[in-house]
Amino acid sequence: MGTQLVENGSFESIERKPLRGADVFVKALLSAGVDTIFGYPGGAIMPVYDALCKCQNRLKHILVRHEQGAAHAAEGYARVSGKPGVCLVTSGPGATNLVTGLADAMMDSVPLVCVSGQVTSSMLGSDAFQETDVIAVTTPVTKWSYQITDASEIEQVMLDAFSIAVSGRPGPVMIDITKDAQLEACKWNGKLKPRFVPKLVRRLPAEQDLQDAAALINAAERPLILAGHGVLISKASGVLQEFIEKSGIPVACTLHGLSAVPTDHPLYAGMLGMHGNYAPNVLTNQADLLIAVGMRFDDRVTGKLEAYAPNARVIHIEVDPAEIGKNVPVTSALVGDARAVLEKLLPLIKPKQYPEWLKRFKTLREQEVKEVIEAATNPGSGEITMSEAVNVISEASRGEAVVVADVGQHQMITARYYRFKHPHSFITSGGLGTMGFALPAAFGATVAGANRPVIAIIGDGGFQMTLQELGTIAQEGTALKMVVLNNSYLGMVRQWQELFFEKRYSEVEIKSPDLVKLADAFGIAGRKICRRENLKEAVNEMLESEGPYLLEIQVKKEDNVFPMIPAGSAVDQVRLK
Amino acid sequence: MEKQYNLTAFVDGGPAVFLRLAGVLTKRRLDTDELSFLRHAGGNYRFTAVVRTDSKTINTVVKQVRRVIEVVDAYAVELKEPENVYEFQSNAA
Repeated sequence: MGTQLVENGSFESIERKPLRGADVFVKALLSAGVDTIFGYPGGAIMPVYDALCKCQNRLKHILVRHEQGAAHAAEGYARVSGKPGVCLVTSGPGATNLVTGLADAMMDSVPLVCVSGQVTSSMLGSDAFQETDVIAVTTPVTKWSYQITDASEIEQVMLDAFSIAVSGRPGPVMIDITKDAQLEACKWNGKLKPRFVPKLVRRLPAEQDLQDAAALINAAERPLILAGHGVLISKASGVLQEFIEKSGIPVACTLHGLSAVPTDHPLYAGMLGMHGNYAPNVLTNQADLLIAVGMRFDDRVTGKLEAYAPNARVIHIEVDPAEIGKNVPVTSALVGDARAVLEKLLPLIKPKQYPEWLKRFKTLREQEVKEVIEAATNPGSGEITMSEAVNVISEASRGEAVVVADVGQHQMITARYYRFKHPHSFITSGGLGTMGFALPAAFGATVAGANRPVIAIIGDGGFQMTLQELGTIAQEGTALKMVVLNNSYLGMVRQWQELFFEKRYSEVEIKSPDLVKLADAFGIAGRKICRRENLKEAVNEMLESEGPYLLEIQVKKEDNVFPMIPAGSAVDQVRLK
Repeated sequence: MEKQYNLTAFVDGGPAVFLRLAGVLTKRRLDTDELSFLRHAGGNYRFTAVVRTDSKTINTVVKQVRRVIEVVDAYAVELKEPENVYEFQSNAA
């Protein structure tokens, strides 16, 4: 009875026929506002795929080539659209292939709802075909996980999954549905509400705490704002810009906070962290007040904690109370949504300027330009450098693109040299540092429909980790621009081996296939360049092309990313060479 | 300075949550004396752990436990030796 095909893809006409768990599941996705899912079918999830067949015009399913690609694509989709990315996979290897993506989303606070099929509930624990204890495997890398063994649970659990994924500090949710639950008859309620409400609500700090924080800000002499991912997640870029312009306080961004403030803003001080800009790292230790907004004082940003910001009081605006005081002692904790808190603080701040303090930033910036940036972006002779390539891409796309970077030297260089204009312009794997992230994530970002070109900048190592997703890109015909900066090395590891292991290169030389031939085999246009004369023109050709395009740029083999804070050093011990 | 703490969490969920809560402790390799998960009459569970750590760590751990979706509330109490056992003697004696 439930197997009749409905031509127009509506559930209303089969309302009177008994729905199965799989139908209720798909209906739950639709009612949560899902329009795209990334997935890969298999035995344990077939009833859901059958139900999907009935509404192809309302719910687009994208077939990937590996479930890890589905997870990263869902991440890219979520980071551009703000909606949770949805993955649908089968049991056993389908679910375990998601683990890296789940861990990545967990570390970077990306909302995902991942659903896996599972064997029939009576066979659980019997080592059945393609059975894995998915809940046990994914518990440490998810915000919430639940196994559904009864069709009557599906509607409520899916409602909870979507609300948990996006609320508070967003994160990945894993739902495991047994095959019998998918096949069982059940009803659609339509009037259920999410449970766990206290965990979903974002509170505001008390009025007195806001007053105390404002007093600290107004009295500061050398303040610095540290803007992180939370600014973008809560869509606080606008109010942050008002805040810095009123208070006169310079702002530095973490890797995930990049583009929260336009790169050319006069009060933008640069990127923090291990390969960030010189001035914000050195001057953090001279600041007397740090205002941390939506960032978690990650070890890449703080360097040696004992020597971090010794002269500063810290105001921490953060939605997750567990992050406050975790790494850095905090003077004023403002728990709440970044935008809401900044909106409350803004009227309490006095307009002010810090000419002497800003002069210090300018001096150190000029030193960095002279000693690092100029030579990196304009080498003049020799092979093309990564910095030069990213600089040209930034100019050619006029800072308008959504840039997705993989992991390694090219990632740091893209973060440093692409000049962002709009918020939500930079996506990368930060906390977990997953190589192979960029290709599927950029694909997901393009699918989310940003109305802007999406450019993936990938190293030759990371590209080879998930290159099978070229198949997905070719099948969908997505107009994604992919740049591979090929230095034939695992560059970041090679740099560490050069600087800290006396140049003993161990397993860092990597050979790539002919990438243009490879792209062509997938039916994707491509080109390779190695000469400076061709750089600008090749980048323009890529940006003007229709459809997917792969540009391989052969770059200088042994090139180091500076500035660098060596591991275990303090932030003001950042090296320029 | 290391102290002994009793960490208690009230859980609106089943044994799968035990895995998640125990994970918060094992992730940090906390020195653990006891771990238990007890069902109450109402069907909900109580998670108890006795750990040895310092006050900064236990503060963060309690917040991370509270962050778990099915946890209704959680707290930690420092376990101290009573200073004077004779305090507990009845006055009638």
